[in-house]
Amino acid sequence: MKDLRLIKGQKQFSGVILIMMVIFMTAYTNFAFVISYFTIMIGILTLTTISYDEFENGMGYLFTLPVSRREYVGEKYLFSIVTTLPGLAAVSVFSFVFSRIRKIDFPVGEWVLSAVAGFLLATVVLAVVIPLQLKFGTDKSRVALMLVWGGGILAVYLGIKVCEATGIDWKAAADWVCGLKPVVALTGITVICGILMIISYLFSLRFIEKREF
Amino acid sequence: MLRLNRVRKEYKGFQLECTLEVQEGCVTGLIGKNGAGKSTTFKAVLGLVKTDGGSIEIFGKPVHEIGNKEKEDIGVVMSDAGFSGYLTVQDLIPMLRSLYRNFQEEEFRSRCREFRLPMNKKIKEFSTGMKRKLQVLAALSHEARLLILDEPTAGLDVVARDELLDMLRSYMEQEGRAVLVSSHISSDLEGLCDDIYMIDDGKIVLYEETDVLLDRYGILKATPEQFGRMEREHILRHKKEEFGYSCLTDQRQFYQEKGND
Repeated sequence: MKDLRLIKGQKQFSGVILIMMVIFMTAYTNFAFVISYFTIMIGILTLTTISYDEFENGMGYLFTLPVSRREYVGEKYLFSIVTTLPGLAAVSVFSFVFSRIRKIDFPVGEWVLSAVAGFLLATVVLAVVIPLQLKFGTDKSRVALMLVWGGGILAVYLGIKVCEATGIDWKAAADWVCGLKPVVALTGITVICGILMIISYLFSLRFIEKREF
Repeated sequence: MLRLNRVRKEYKGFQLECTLEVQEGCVTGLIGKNGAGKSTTFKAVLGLVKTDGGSIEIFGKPVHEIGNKEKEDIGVVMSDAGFSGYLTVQDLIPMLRSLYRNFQEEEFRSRCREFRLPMNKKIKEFSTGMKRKLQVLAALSHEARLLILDEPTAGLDVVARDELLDMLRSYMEQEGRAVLVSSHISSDLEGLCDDIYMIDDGKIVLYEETDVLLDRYGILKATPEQFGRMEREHILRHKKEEFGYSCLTDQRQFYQEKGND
């Protein structure tokens, strides 16, 4: 309820998202990108509520009210899903309508795939950023996020190099994944993202339970 | 209602070691200068910092077993934290209604009007005094059995301070309640508290009932010559000043009779 009130107070941010969405829908032709981009933007709204909770040590005060740390973390994840899903639905519908009005080739199959991919991408972003923000706070989490992304890219790069050095054909594995049927691939990615979200939740819980105010 | 037994919390360059008790029907004061350990004590009680030793019990339960049900019976004011500044008082009402079964909405609204708190202005735009008033009103709004108030009068003008102290006195008229309140202003606590703990450098250095404190204790001011002649068996502490010495005694009457004051 508090978070809904906080979001309601973010008229400027919501207005900017809406204007940008209209501009993108009327000027862009890559609707798959538009869907992913705005789904992530809406998902990030959740993170702004954590920043608002932290304002002037408000999170400490929050835990003196009948709100447990476990409930708080659970609520953040639930709220992120609850805000992202309707946002994704709205952006997807708008994209579909605008593509038809502008007579841009955007087949239904690609549209569905874009919507699912957008949701999964937003899930990954939230799964990484929520625990970082709860652990390090708003300011330090930005630095931590850059380090995590940098570390991730480095890990992939090193992984490829190791595969090449040991003779493992990683391209064949990538081709195998790309060759999967869309339903199988999406199910697999959904399961991976679900596991990622659970791991992320457990980390967040651990961080918030250890945190002092 | 609340018991701290040898509670320890260590920071770099500071160590809290605190034993205190708040009994039902009592207003207990915790007084000490800034940085003495008042807020750390409150945070330990509220489970916001992890302690390094000792035990804390609220309503007879260890603090780590305190759940949302017990929290509904506790009203809190913190000196360095409060409601999110991005909310308005109007936003808080449904939130408090959902958090507390005994939330007295009408009373809360009328008190907000009485204290001239704007309902639709963001809390971050409030003055320090207004934020403090809001926290106190919220703490009093849900029929809590225990109030834990860290510096509730800080930032308030004299009139608002008196109004707030009156509200706390009214709150205590009902049986089964208790208050732990801190301040670095002794006069705030004198007229309100039944007993007072004094904390300095993380340690409780004095505990006394307020009546005894006001009746028997006193500060004697003496020149170096007077201090030299003074019988010191009832001097608890003394401190060198520009004019001579300030001496704390728990037998003011003794020195008055001796004419040493």
